[in-house]
Amino acid sequence: MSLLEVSGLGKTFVTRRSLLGIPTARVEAVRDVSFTVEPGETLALVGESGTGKSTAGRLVLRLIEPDAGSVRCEGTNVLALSRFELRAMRRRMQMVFQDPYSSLDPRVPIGRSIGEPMLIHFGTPRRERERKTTELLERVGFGADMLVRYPRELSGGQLQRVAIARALTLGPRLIVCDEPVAALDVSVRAQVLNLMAELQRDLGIAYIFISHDLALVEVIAHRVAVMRAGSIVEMGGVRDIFGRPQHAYTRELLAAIPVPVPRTVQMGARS
Amino acid sequence: MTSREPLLDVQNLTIEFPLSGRWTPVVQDVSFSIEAGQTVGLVGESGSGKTVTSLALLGLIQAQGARIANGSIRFEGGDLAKFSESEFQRIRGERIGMIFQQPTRSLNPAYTVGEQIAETLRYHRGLSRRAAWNRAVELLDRVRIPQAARRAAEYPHMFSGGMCQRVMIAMALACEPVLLIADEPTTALDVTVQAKILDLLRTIQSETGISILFISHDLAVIAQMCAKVVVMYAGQVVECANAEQVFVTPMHPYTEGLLSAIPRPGQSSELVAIPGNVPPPGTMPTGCRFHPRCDYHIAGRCDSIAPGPRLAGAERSARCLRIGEVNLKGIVLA
Repeated sequence: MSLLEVSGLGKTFVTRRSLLGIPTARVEAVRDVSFTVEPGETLALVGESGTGKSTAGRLVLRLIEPDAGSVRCEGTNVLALSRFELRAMRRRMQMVFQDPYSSLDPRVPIGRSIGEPMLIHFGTPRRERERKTTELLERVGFGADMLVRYPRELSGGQLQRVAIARALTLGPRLIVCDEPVAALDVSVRAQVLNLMAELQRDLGIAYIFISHDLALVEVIAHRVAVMRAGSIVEMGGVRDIFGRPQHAYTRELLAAIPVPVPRTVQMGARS
Repeated sequence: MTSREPLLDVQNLTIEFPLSGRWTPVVQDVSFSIEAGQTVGLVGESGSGKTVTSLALLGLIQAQGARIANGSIRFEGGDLAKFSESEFQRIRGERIGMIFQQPTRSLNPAYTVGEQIAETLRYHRGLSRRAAWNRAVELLDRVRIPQAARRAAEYPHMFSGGMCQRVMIAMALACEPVLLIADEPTTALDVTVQAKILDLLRTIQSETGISILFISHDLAVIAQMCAKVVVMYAGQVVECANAEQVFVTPMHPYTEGLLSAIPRPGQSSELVAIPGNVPPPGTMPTGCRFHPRCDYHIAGRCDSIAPGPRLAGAERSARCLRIGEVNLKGIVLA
């Protein structure tokens, strides 16, 4: 059984209403999207802005309610869950956002941000929470001194590692990562991505990795789904997508990736 | 003026901002030059000082409370470092044009794009309303906006991000400046749109011979655009050379680190990271500013002696004490 089975997922947003509140314009943000995610696997959702990849990620977690389709996580129908049951399901599925500066509460010390989910979900006593939080911080490469520090004292890369530690708190099987390194400097991106890969290796976590950066996706994903105008136009193993793209749009995307080799060198190598 | 003299020559530029009551250098001892018709890439991470450096060329840092503490910016016989605001007003848009990262936010939403381009022409060139409008349409056509005459009468919100950037380019080119500063012009754009904008900039350069200062954190984009590359780290230029040298035989460990951090197809899953973080202004490490993150640093030397830019060949310099002692890796050619 797959960890996650998504089928026929759809969402339409109303973009304009008449005076009487009757919808007059709609956008079909996600249309008939189906995919599966296996345990310990990274599925990349790629595409340009406005293709619905972020919406698709949020629909899976029900951060936005889907209009159509089904989402099954470890066999449970996620869309049929009550609010209370959904909260329990969130222990299995977590999210890491693009902007680490706005995804942590600036007035709360790092230790409490990471420990709070344990209190909410399991009522874990304080001592136990502190012990586990210290463990998690260690897991993402920080010492216990981080417990009492505030988000403003940390850099973007450090904050993103904290966000990952918080996502790990409840022992999830799947983390939806929406452009997790797009806001980070090039030199620290790899710190975050290598941490994610290590966690996947050690804990068997699966990722839905939402990204517009195809060069990056080629290195870190196992499978790739290419989205355009709300639909998946092509999906397959990373070698196939990058080596033998079938859809014209995929080929167009791949052709547009800039090559990190100066033109004079490229020309010299060719002649 | 001899033909050997560069169009723009920045020497030992130091820019300071007031930080908790003290003048703190954010850009220190920066030198580089741009020849006529050349594209020079300014590479660096956030906080490296690349944007501040470029804003200084247009006199836009004084309004933010900063000052030029030292150095000169030679441009067309004058020194921009000593220019007054009214002198800058004659240069901005007229001799030096600029485009920014967020094209949709750089345009005034209340005016049509044609009016905004025409305004530049009426101010700098004293053109009549009609002549300025006609010229605006020509410019929009030049940046390959289809049906330029119709689109000139439309408002910015009716343009996509890529089209807005084309409008910005048209506006920057309106007075035929000799230098275009492009600050991360494609960072906010999709990869297919980015490719088209880069293409457009190259075409315009070959048509007009304009010089471009191209600022980016993305080495792949720099590789596609620039003949010469200036690498900045923590407010200093750490390496300056032609693109081929920087990419194939880098001389500064930071450049090597940036190159190795580029994801490459076929590499094992482990990506290469530079450990640590960029130091914020006011908390610069002693000695070489990069030494706490450098694999090659020697205790007692790199942490105590601040290296100056060392020349290595006619057009090449690097700010490292260990030039010639370490073998650095460039990009691996496929």
